[in-house]
Amino acid sequence: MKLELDMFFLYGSTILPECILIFSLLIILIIDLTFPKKDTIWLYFISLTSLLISIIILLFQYKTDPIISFLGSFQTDSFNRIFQSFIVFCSILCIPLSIEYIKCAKMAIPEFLIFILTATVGGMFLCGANDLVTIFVSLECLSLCSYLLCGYTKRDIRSNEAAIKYLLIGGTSSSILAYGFSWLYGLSGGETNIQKITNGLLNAETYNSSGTFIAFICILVGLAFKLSLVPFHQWTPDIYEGSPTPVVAFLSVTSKIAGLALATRILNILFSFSPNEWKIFLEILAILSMILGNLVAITQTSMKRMLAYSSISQIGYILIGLITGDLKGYTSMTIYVFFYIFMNLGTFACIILYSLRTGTDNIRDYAGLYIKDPLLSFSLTLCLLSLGGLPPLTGFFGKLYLFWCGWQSGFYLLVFIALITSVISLYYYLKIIKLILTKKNNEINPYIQAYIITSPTFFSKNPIEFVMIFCVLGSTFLGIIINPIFSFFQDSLSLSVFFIK
Amino acid sequence: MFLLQKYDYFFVFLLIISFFSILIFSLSKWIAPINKGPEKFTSYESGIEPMGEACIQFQIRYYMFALVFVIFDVETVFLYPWAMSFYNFGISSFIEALIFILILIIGLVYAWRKGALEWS
Repeated sequence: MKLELDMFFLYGSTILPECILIFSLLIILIIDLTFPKKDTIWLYFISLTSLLISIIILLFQYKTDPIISFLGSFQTDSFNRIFQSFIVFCSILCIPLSIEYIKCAKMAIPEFLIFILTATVGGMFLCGANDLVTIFVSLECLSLCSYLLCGYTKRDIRSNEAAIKYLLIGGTSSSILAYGFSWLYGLSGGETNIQKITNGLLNAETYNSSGTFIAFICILVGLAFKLSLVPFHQWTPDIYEGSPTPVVAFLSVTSKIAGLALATRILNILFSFSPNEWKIFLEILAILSMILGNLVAITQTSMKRMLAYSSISQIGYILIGLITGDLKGYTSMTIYVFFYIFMNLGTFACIILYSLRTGTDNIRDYAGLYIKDPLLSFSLTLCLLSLGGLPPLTGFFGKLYLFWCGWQSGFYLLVFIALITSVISLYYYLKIIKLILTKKNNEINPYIQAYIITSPTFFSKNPIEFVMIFCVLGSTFLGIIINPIFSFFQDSLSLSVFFIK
Repeated sequence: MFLLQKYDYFFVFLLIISFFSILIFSLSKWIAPINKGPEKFTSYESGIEPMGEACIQFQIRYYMFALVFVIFDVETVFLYPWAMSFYNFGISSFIEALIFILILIIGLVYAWRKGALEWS
């Protein structure tokens, strides 16, 4: 094997977006160390600028042919580029969400930004990782930052509990995943590159053996832990409830997107010889997630726990696109992920705003919010209805395409259950909306009474409100232009490594 | 159940090893004389008189030092092969190694400034 020594200069453009983020992360660290009197605006400015530059570069490169770089450990194609830009987009939206929360909780700002940026870099590398070692290292980079972010409010005992739980569960799932990788390594005759593993398995004719099956089960379990699919979901509500809310908003989208990209790559490239086998297992997991996530969400009393179960069910819907497995399925999966960013971050923006002003997350304390703050209650209503999939909103169009692709490919049971469970999900979203909108002047609850009335300007200076309005606009009106979005994603995804063969 | 032909020897070895370990442990239990004395139940601390319980709480600062140590330990592992074949590599690998060291030095300065190296 010839060593390529000038690799950065050869392949630098393939990881340029990540390099910019790493560079800005180092600058933030140096600024934090050299200037004891911190001007925090600069830190936000640097991180947001680098993220913007990175997403602009990604958008310019979105139609690339598959390039394999760094001795086969990193692959760039249009699928990765799209998912990487989603991750960067989430970080851009999450940083403004957290500014005020950090100020109120008196947390250190530079470290928070560094963790967010590192998690973003880890997720971006995970999207393009083409080697078992790279997959594992970037996955750990993402998850270690997530554990640290969960325990970021050091004085809060619930945050500590969430961090420890997340650390233990994440460590367990990573070890199961690594065990599955080790089986593949042995069976393919000592390869770590995922294309070479597939070739090795086919050459050694071990792809039908029970060893490959064990490897598949272990990898699937590890991925299901990361994606919080149903038999492996128990950690999600606890961690969502305990962690700081902006962190939950970040994790609920970023880790999902990165995990989904990883699952798509692994299942499609590594297990491309037995597509029917993994589709059955994924179908079972998706059905369980949709049923259990939606049914348990009805009984929740905390807003964050409710959203945790709702996110479990949403990942079940997203999996329909992955199970379908053709170009249209992947396109609708990508579109739904794109819409999910808006809907979920919009909901979390509303919750962060409300909990900052009142300090509570219970659903019953939202009663009668409409009297005090029509803008917030209107935004929360739109985001929740969009998550539920009510017709004129964005979520409906995303779900329509997903279900239609699933139906066309003959997954009737899956789509049928998805339809029924989305009706159930509408029930508990509507329950919250009814609580917000009801007028009971004689018994206003104390949290609403203490609610500070802000100026009802449409574009206020509050960054959370800005993100909230942006997300609400996205989750309301994006569905109208779904046809151009669909053809855009379909054009770029058709260039990806799954369809170019 | 297993369709892995190449691993037959492995399973034979696994069987032999598990059989031998069971055999040896049961032999020693069977042959060895059993005398219960107070000295036997104390924990072994390199020959000196044991002090306190076996399960004690460590100062958390040990972990901080261990973490900082591990970073630079790994750095040495990476730098040694690089230094051995320095002449074969071009100037680019020199710059890359400099960047690598620079990042680690920033880490050290960070630990220093935040007081991770102070024992107080």
